[in-house]
Amino acid sequence: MSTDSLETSTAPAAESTDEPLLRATGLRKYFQTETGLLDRFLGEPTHVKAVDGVNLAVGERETLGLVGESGCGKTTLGRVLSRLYDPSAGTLEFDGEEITDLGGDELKRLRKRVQVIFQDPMSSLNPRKTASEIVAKPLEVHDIASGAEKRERLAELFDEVGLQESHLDRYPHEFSGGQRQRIGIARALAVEPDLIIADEPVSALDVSVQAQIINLMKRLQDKYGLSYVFIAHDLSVVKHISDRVAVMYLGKIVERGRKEDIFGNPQHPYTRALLHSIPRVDGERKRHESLLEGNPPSPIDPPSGCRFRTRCPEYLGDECAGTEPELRAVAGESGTVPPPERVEAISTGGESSAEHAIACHWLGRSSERRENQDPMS
Amino acid sequence: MSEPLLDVRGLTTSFETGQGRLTAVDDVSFSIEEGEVFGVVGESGSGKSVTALSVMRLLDDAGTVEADEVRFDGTDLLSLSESEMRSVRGGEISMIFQDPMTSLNPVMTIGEQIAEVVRHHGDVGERTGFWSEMRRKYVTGTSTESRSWRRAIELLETVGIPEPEQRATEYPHQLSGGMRQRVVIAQALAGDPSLIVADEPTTALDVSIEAQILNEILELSDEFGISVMLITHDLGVVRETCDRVAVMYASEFMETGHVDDLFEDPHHPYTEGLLASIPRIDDDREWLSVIEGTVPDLIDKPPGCPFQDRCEYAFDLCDRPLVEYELDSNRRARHAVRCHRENDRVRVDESGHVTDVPDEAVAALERRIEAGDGSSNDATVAESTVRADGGSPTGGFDETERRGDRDEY
Repeated sequence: MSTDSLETSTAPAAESTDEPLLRATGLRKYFQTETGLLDRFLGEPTHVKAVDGVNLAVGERETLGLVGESGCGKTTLGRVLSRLYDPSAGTLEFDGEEITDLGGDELKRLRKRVQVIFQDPMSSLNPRKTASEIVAKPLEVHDIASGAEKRERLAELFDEVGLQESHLDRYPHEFSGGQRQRIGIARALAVEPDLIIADEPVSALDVSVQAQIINLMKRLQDKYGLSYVFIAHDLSVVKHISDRVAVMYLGKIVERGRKEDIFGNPQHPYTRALLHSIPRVDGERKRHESLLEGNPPSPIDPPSGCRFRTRCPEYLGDECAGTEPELRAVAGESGTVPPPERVEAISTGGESSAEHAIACHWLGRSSERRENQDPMS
Repeated sequence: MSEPLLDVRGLTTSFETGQGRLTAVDDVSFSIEEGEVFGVVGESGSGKSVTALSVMRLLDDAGTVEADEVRFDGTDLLSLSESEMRSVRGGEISMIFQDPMTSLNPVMTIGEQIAEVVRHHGDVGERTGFWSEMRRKYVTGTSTESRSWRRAIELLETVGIPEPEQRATEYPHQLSGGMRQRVVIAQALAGDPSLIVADEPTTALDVSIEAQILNEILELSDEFGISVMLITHDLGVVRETCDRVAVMYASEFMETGHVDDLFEDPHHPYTEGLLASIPRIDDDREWLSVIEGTVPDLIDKPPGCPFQDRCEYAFDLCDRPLVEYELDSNRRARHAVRCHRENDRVRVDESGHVTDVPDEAVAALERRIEAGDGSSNDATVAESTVRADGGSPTGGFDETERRGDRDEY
């Protein structure tokens, strides 16, 4: 393993001028597993390590896509980022301010700036409230508008997300899935937030409706200068909406970078395998060998060393089982050399958050040897 | 050409609701050849699942199923008695459902569940009477020496479950989602089927597991020559697994054809719109194209094309009843489209918009509607569409030749 890599993710470039909107450092979230009484007295408590040491940053007007298989911790990470869960360790900064331990009124003020959109619009909308009551709630809670002004703002919001004014007094069950998700978006938008954490916002919707919602979210971003953390398991959707992408596996980020890097020049074996297994509408059809065998291991007791090693097509042996690889910038070592302007950007520390980094021992191999084993070639 | 394995003609299923009659499947015809993977793709609520359930006669009294013909391997499924039908289900035709957790019994070991199907459909010479099953279920369990149990282990091995002897004694909750779906596939294989109806078999699974399961289904289909009817909403899945595919919208089959033809050169505006609205991994469009509007109400559905309100090419003929137009010219399989734009007398410009509807186009359509048949292999229909310029239908099929200027769009 070479040590002269350009930068590790734990030390953000000090000279970086544009501070990201949201920054997470060494973020962890453990859940204690339910144990019997005897175990509680005798044994060590066991933990599900849902998020286990994540560093990430979300810039202004930027969309960060978070992908991974189910159970990899992406939803938990989203909830920690929005402070719906308290992190077990690590720090969270929002707009230059530490928000890790905020409580009470301060937390409420944060809520006004960070909003969440959930996956299933049916279960995230109260079935006994009308659409207008649902969307008006944040306006009341944060004392933004009342009376006629509120009604006016509601109509405006509904119009913004593509609903009609006649929809205001309907109940959630009277809407279609896509319309319900629009209500969820209107609710998040009501307080004029800076950051929206969207947890699988389109995965419960049909393809044609998906396209409508994705376009809506992009339009709103352009108009209001929103930042998104877009959590999804569907890589093509993520590619479409994101500026940068982080790939998660068992509670850790294994690769991150601009979407062009992740989709055009994926480096981590997991990312490659994941991209490879998407059923494609165009191109080669039928029966590729699946690169990913088996299931992800348990996050209670993750494998030693690299967590992906049990399923990795590039498994190198002791090296992978021994130490846990850290996120390192690809630029200097990548088999496929990145365009010069990017190398420069990375080496000057300019866009530290946009760098393409992966956590894998395989990257340390010479490009020649890697090419011989390359699953994509 | 040999007889198809499953031949469905004019299938119509409707439900009586408080608001009126809901037509969930509207005059659908298709056939599945031996060893073929046939896909039915559509959005939720388009009637894909009801089509499958109607063929399997699993709707009970909930809906009314009418059809000109549902012929499977030479027998008319609609005329079978319920007990005969029961031996077909799980035997000759078996089903895989979307959610393996709800299609498996949570309080029986997976070995027992598969062994039970083997006994009922697999001809292993073990008693399957009520009391024998009860004794097995509550007292003895299936003997690990019995043929049905050993066959169950074999099947688990076939579908790629490691340590099948051990796994067979476990309960569904002890397995992961992908493993559970493999168990359901093993169960579907137990009756030695010639057709498997898979209703969204991978929708509940992760992409990496999805690829494994789809590969498994395809391999089994190849190895044992099993036909598969694959119902899904995922066009990517269809593209990678199916031989032929039907696109369903608002209870009707809008376009049917070989998967390559349909994806490379879609003819129905809905298929076109659907393909354009998927985010693809290798495109760099800023905005996705969108089909505006929503699916029409299926209760008391008006005649005419159900897509007309959302269709950018809609023209005068669209509120007439739909008929099926068949495309020829180097198609890999029979390609049928239900869209009046394909009427060969209707003039269409390069962008695909209709420019002129001459009277004879209307007349030809009316003759077909009067003939009372949307399907195309009707001799009188074929007669009526003989082209003035000397083109003539072949093989008794109504041909609608694609004009050159349509190739571009």
